[in-house]
Amino acid sequence: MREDTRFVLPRAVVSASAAAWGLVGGQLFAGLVLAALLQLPALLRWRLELEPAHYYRAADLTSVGFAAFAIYEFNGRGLLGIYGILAGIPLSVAPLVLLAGYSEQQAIPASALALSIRRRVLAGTAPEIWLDPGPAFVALCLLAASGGKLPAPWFDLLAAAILCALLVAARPRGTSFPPWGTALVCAGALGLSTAAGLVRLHAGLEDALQSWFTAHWYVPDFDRATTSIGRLGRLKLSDAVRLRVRTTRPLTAPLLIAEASYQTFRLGTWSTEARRYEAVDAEPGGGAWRLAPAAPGPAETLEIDLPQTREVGMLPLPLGTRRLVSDQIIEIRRNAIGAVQAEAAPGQVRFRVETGAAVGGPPPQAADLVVPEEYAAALRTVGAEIGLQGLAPQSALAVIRRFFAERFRYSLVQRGFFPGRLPLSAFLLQDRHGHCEYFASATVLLLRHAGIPARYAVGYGVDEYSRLEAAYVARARHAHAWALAWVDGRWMPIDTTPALWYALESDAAGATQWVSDLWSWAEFRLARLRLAIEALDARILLGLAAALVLVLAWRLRGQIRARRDAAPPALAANLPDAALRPLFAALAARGLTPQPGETVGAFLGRLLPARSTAGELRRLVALYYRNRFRAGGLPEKEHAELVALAADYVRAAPGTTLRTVR
Amino acid sequence: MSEAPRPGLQRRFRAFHAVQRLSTAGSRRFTAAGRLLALLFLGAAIFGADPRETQAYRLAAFLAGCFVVAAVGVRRTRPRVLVRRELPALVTAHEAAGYYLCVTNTGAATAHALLLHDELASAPTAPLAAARSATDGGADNWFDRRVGFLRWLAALRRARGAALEPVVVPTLRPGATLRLFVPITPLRRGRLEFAAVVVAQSEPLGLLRGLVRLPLAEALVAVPRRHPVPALPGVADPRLHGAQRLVRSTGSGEEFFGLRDYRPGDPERHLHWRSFAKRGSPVVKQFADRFRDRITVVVDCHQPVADETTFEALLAVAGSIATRPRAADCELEVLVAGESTSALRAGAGLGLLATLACLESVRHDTHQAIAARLTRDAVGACFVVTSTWDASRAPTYGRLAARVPGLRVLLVGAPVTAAPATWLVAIDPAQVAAGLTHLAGAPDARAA
Repeated sequence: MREDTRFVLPRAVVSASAAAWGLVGGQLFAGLVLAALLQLPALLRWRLELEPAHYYRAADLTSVGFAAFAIYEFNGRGLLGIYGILAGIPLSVAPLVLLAGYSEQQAIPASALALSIRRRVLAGTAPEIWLDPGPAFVALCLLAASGGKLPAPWFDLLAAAILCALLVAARPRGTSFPPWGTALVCAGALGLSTAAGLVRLHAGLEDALQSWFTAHWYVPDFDRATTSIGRLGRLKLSDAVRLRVRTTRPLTAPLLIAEASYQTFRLGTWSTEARRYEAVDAEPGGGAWRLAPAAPGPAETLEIDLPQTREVGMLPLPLGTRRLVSDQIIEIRRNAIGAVQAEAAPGQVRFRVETGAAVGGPPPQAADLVVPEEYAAALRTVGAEIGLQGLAPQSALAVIRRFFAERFRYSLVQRGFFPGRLPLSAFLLQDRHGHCEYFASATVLLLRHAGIPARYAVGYGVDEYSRLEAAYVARARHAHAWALAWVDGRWMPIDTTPALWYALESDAAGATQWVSDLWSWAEFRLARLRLAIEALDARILLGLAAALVLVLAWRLRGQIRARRDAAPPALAANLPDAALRPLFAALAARGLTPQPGETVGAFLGRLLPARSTAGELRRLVALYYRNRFRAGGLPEKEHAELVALAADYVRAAPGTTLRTVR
Repeated sequence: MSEAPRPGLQRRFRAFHAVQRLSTAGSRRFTAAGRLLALLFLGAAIFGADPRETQAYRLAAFLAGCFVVAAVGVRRTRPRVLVRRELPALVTAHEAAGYYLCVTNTGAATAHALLLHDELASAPTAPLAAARSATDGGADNWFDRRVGFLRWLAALRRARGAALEPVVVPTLRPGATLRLFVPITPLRRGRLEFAAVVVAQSEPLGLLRGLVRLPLAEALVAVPRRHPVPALPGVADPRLHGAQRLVRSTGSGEEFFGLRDYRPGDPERHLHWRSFAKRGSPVVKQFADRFRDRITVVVDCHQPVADETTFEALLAVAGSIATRPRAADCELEVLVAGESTSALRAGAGLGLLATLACLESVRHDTHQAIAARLTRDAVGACFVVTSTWDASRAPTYGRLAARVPGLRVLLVGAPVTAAPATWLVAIDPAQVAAGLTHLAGAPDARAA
């Protein structure tokens, strides 16, 4: 191999990479053993004398083993098996790398890796090429380590260390440290900022795609809510503004605005059987709907702006909504468990709600007490742990709140695999950390286990005030889930998610959030302006249009008059020869003028006599041009001939045969 | 006459060209470390598509940062060198040879980690010709049989004439010049057109290379292989020169050695007047016949079906005979029967070999033209090197052999369909050296 076209890594770097992979990827023992085996040849004095056939067998064995491993992973985990394969790549290729380490050549032949190359090498039509597997193995270890559990800062350090080692080995001869070091530092800084941006970009793209998909393709199913329960990794939602809420008084606590509630939980999805929506009669005069009977007590008024992408959408309402007023909503429909749909033109929909003490919806149904069979054991364990049995509803509520508050923590990250695919059981019994969907779902099930009817509600937690919007805003990442419990004859929101969640979500705001907020505000203002224009009285619009037309007419008035006053240029007056003036004047009087750029001959030939007199016409044109361009004009005799011919044409009507003059 | 490939094939071969250019650009632009990290970036980008599942996106981000910085470094890396080639006069096809690249550092800083890529140009029609050959058989795996890209690549390499490896330049101080040996093994005979030298230098991180293309057009001729020819039949045989008119344009063929009495019929210009005056009776000068060795080699370019291997062997035979060491007064004439029959007076052997190197086979029959030319001009030992034999040629050459005693027809590759003749010699294209070694013994022609 040429000196310049390969780079050699120290054996220690290769071994360290294997150990790092083992440490990060949860394969510590395997990683350490592999590292030791890779480092051992440095201490040994002997080497194996290997033939290419030995490498071929090792490569074939490795290929078969890898294929079997891949099948095992895909079979067990479906498409997610790709991550298992990623984690196990270093072990898969270890046989070949070890063989190279213990061989005399310290390399593997390229023919061992590809059958086509092997065939040619064996036939003698291609030379053997030896490859050092060290750098490739280090790269694979690094890639495999990226699928491990190491948190970001530590992974960054690990990746930086291994990449540094690779780049040190690849440093060109003669390159001094300052430029190389500077380049490395710049690359690292750029990489870190890119990594942060990628996360935001991914969330933004997901959100945008989802919105586009929802707007153009997806027909939402209002009767089910698919949760992220059981989904691994970090839950990420975007900063896009979803709701704008204006209140009469500042909020002292996060306001829960519910879109819908559900009763049945199965395989990570909450659903309801109450699929039938009944229209709610509007109040006389239209534009207002009463959703709950008026009750004594203070009332609160909220104004909510909601972007509606379809004609029919769920209406997020605070618990205790009694009355709804909107001039954009055409119809309100409600189902048996109180979820509200609104029919309105797509766009920014504004409505006003009056809230106060209310029942909060129809009474519970049988489904509000059902506990899924698969979670019964876990609920019994927890119930026994906290002494839930036999408690009065209010006491049970307090115990459940205290249970979650004291023993659970909020987290957006889920790692590890859930045995038997029961993530809520793992949440309740083992992990005890999760996001709002975990808390809400577990609370609902625990309440039901305690005999309290409960539902799962989804919506938004509103607490952020935007000075730009002059309103409270609910972003996509403020989407929230909580439990509703039927206690003392009314539905109560039971939010057991640690209050810390809101602060954590706010901390996750990106540095460029202000840009997207500005854009969102501009879009919102434009939408409102369009609505305002559309809402204007047609007479006013007509009046404005008429005024514009009058102004335009007044401005154009002078120009039109100027045009009409200007007479068309007198063609005859422009002719240099007076002999043809009467002829052209006569033709002009009949409305016949030459076209722009038309010669005298073409004009006359077009208009005047028939073919039999073409000779006179040519004579006339010739005399005309000779008179025009000849110094001193025509001689007297020819000038007289020109005048006579022109006079004859004056007498002749267009299209008639000319009388012979001579 | 050549035919253009079908439109579907044209599209495929345009794609081949694009892939080959991309591959060449990639191998020149990326260092070994750059290629490895580029692949790692690709893997990290794939696995990091969902930031929730792995940290691979962070790895991809770091690598992207490295390549961006490397790309900026490449912009600032421009090697300043002058390059000159020292080419040999000729090289032989399929035989290892070499030439020198002289590189001078014209910059103010020491040049490190330089790589020189000497580029061979191929004729504009070469890719098309390569495309046609790619549709022929000969693929050794199912991918190549189906797609044909590797065959096309090999054909393109042959069209260019050689596969040159990049040359590593050691550290070059400002103003210094280094002379670097470049091995070359021509893959075919003919002109090898050098187009340019691409100078590559790595940026500080060692991932990418800055490239500077220095146009440097030169040509090198790869001549056919030659083999030793121990003896040639019919050369220096005085029986062949007795009554024949010999050297025509190179001077008198007679040497004055005495006087004799005039005999009726003697030309008057041979009268020796001084002796006539002395003796009173006519005396004429007496001349002796002189002769020189003359070798004529006829290269028959006719091939009904193009067969490059056989044609190469034919040219090897002709070239071997033509460049065999001969006496100073032995005259060599080479006739090339191709598009037309043209003669080469062999002064310098290099020019002759260069001409042979650039010959192409033709489809029209040439043996009549050869026979006519030899009938008119052939003297001395005459070798017709051909790869075509059929029923019409045997009588023609037979008659020619009767008129030209020194005629030998060397049949390269084609089976003989006529009765063996002493003037017909068969040579196996795979064993040209052995065939030429036994040429003087003139083994009987093989029957079909």
